[in-house]
Amino acid sequence: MDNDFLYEENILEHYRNPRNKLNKACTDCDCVGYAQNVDCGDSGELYLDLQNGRIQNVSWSGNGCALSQAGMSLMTEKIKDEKLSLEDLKLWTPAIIYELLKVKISPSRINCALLAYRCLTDNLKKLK
Amino acid sequence: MNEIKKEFQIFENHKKENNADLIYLDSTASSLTPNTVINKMNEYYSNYRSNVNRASSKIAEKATGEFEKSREKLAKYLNCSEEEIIWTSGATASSNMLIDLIALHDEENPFLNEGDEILTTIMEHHSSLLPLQKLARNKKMELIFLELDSDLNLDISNLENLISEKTKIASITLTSNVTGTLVDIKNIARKIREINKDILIMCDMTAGFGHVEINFQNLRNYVDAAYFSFHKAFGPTGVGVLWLKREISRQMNPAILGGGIVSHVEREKTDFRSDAKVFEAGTPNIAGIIGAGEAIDFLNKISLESLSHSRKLVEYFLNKISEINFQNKNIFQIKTFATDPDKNSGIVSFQVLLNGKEIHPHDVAEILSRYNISVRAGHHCAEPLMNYFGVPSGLTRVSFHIYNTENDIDILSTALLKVKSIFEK
Repeated sequence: MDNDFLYEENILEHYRNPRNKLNKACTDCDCVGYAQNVDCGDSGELYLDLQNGRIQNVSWSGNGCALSQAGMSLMTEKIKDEKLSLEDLKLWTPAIIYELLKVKISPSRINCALLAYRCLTDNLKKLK
Repeated sequence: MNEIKKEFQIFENHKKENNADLIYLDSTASSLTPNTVINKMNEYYSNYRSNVNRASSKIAEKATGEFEKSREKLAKYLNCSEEEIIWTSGATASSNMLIDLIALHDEENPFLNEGDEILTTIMEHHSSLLPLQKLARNKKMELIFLELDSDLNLDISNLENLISEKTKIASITLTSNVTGTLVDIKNIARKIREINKDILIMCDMTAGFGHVEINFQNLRNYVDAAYFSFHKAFGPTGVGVLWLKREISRQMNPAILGGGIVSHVEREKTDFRSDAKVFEAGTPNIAGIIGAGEAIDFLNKISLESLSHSRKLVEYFLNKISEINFQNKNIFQIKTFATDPDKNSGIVSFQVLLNGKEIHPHDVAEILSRYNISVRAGHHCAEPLMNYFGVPSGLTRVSFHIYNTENDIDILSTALLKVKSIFEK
């Protein structure tokens, strides 16, 4: 039980105080990536503002469980803090999200954990 | 461990493996399987593994005999003719087959017209609703929905205005897999028939089978077709049933074609066999159906106490929730979506609120699982009902069966308070 993600302050803290979250959908950003978990209603939109192919700003909106929402928060924080480029993000795999969450994800929660990653891949697909 | 739990080896095995009791509150998703059913299927694989119907070896005859014994037992259990039982791979396969049979029949003997209507309910499981949507789309028909009253029972006060000569089909679930609402299908079907006697009436019995008595002799004047799965009633996965009145199925041609359903085949054409096995093309789930026969023996054993036992547990759980809500006023609240125990088949769905904000059902279920409690979280394949309730994230659901106890609910209640303490940190 000590390794339970829901007992990890990291997850709960980001769920309660999400970074880079907008209270409503962004209507004027350059690219919107969308993902939804159909069986539970988790949803997220990842907003990228770009200038000359570089990421100027990243934000998101969404609703869902602690894991999916903390994932959105942690991922956008990393993109911002590390000033990552689109080229960097294209190299990402789901392992990056698992590293950020720092907990073991059970098979039934993979969709929750990867909501943010699926938003990002939708962004990258649209920017191709 | 109580006596009935000893008949399910999963409880003992779970204790050995996890050093903790299994609190299984997810029987509406899939019930547990008694040892007798597991042993019976193992016996088939170990002692007389063979195909059925098509061979004359000793073991094939034994397999065919055991296989057909299940049909005989089920017909007796449901009080219907063996000719009205069609084995399928599950309730979803049954409902799809039924709609395909109707569509095929309509191609050969048109009776569905553009603008005709299908009456159904807001409580339907997707496995019932989606095939209806397909039929409505293909035939340009309209779906009309019965909704719920304030007690979450089916509201039929406006039935006369929802049915007309355009209504060709009514599909009414026996039980909501979310609220536990038990529908008085005979009464509603009778009322439907009083308004329009020509409506084809079908019933999804999946969430009710194994909990309530089903007697097709009493229902056959009102209901034309019904379906359910065995995995929710102590049988194995992969076994379903379509009950179709013989006077109707006799007029239909099979929608699924293959081996075992013919009397004569030429290069360009086929004559089908004349009995109801024409709807069972291909090798069936032999072990599963033999196991289902054993599950019927178990159902017969518990039938008198199953529903009252589940209802007592619903009442006990609702009282526990009232206590929790009273002790945590305005801070931690559990909002239930369930009919009263006397109209409930053994299901309570709920939303957990902390300081007025919902704790997501997946988070609730994840925490409960740390206490070895199995529940279901999400839309429960009933998204229109979730939207009707205004709960886009879905609900957490507990469902009871004969092996559950008040102690299970005490452990659940303690774990629900743990949900509170984790999220208010």
